[in-house]
Amino acid sequence: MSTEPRIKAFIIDELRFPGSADDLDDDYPLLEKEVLDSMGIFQVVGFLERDFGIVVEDEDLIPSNFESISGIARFVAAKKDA
Amino acid sequence: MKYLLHHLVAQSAMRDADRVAVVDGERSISYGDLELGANRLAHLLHDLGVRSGDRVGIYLEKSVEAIVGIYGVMKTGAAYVPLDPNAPAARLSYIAADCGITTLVTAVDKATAWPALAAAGAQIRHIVALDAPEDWTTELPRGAVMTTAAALETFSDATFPSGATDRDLAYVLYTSGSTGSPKGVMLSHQNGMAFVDWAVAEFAVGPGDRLSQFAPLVFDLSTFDLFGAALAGASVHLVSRATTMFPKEVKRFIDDHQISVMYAVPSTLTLLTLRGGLQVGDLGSLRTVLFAGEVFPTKHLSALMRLLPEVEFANLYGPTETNVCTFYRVPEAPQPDGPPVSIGRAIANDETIVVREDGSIATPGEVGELYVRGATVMQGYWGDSERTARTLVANPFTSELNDVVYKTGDLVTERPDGNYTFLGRRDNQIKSRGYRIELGEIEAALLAHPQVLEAAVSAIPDEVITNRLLAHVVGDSKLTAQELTRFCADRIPKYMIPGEFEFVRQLPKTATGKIDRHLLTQTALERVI
Repeated sequence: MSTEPRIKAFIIDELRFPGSADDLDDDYPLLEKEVLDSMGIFQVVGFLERDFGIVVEDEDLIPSNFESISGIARFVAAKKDA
Repeated sequence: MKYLLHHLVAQSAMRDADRVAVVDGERSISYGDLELGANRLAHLLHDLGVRSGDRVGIYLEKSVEAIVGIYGVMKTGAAYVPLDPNAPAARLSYIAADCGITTLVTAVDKATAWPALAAAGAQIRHIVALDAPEDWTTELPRGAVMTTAAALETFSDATFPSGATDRDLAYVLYTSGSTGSPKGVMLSHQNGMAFVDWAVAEFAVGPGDRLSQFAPLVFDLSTFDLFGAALAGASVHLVSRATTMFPKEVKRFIDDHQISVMYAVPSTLTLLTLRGGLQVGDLGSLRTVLFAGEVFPTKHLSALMRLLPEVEFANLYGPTETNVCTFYRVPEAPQPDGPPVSIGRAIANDETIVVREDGSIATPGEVGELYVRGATVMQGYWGDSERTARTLVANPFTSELNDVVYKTGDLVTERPDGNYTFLGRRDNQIKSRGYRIELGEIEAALLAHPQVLEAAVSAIPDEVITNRLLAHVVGDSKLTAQELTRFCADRIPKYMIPGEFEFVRQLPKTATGKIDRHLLTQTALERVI
């Protein structure tokens, strides 16, 4: 499975996205709509480190890396390339 | 002359009209323009029929417009009621109906939620959309009329002749209510002024200061940032929600804006300590850090104070009903494994009394409930004289007429040095991320689900956010956590939605048939640890 659907599944199953799964497209504003709060971000960080084998540094905790599913996927790809 | 909170802006504008009042990202507004903008809005609102004693909803993201809105509403003699831009429409519509909001100051990005605001029966007649173009249309609540930005421009910016007095309400802040509905805490101009008068003097806030504004406008912490800055002629720098969530962004914000006085909940400060990448001596612009809203885990406070050795730290304490009533200057970094820092002693112009279970005054070292009397104590709960009468009572220790005390529900002891130690609550109110939450309100939301038979919520202590929420639910076997989360999201704010659900056949009961909360929480804790 590619990155985006795995992140989407995590947000739906683990963070319990309250809306309809159809609304949660790759550009859905996760921060603006408060899908992610400060605890949610750390849950996502744990998931990314565990499931994608990357290490998330303090420097990586910036809004652009978490603003949407595609933003998170881009961040994961950049980390893997690094 | 300053009796009313909007006088603070007028006064600062008179002293130096060009001085920056509010900074919102790339935008800012001077005291002069803030005063003129608020006057213009007040004239418009008056024209729409807003009068002294009315309540006007502020339904806006934290922004220059929201601040203009707040002062414009107060100038008319009405009280502003901040509506959380992220709260579900059902909750906001309850609030709008509860305090009879008929006029809303808002913006186009909130338009999709406008019709739902009238769902609980509020008679919304006027929607003032501060950024709506002249020919813009959208669906409005039945019977409502929209006023656009262009119409606002036609009104005068001359000083609005306010008829209010300092006894009139300035704002109504809704907090979680134990019976399932939020309750409106009524605060007068005098209440707000007494607090900022004290705070600005105590922390020597001056025109050269730059205050951050972390708290949402629905939170009483915001009144320090807004009205404190206005009193001092300082600037207030609005912090976006996204920034607050990222510790490094918080650090960058403080540096970029050269913030000198910061007031935030411990959750924000803990994350800054743990993940902000701070080095000793960083954040050189900061001189004062104030925190309130929940207990600051001692080891994180200790670490932050060691990282910021030049900064003064103070713990401000007080439920919304008293804004702030006691404070404690933390003299030095506490031992990391020490007890939580004190909540201190009464601020100027408030008096505190510790009352034992039997109604007598507690001596130092004895446990009792904290009672507060004085200028910051609220006027009561909106439309709920019964609840008001339960917490705002005649002072049992005097025979003076009209001498009332507020019973906080918080248990404290007085230390030998005269400072108080906070011990906990008498009831089921808890804190999470600085938000005050009545477990009963969450349970009521869960019980509204047709397939839920019984529900109880436990608070599980957490190092960063103070408490996590665990729901115990008895109901249909097909119920899922997903479904209940979705259901709650339409009724209560996100910070009140349980992070964990457990589905059980029955809840433990006490001998009198009540849900045994103590046992539930104990069992949950044992499982977590």
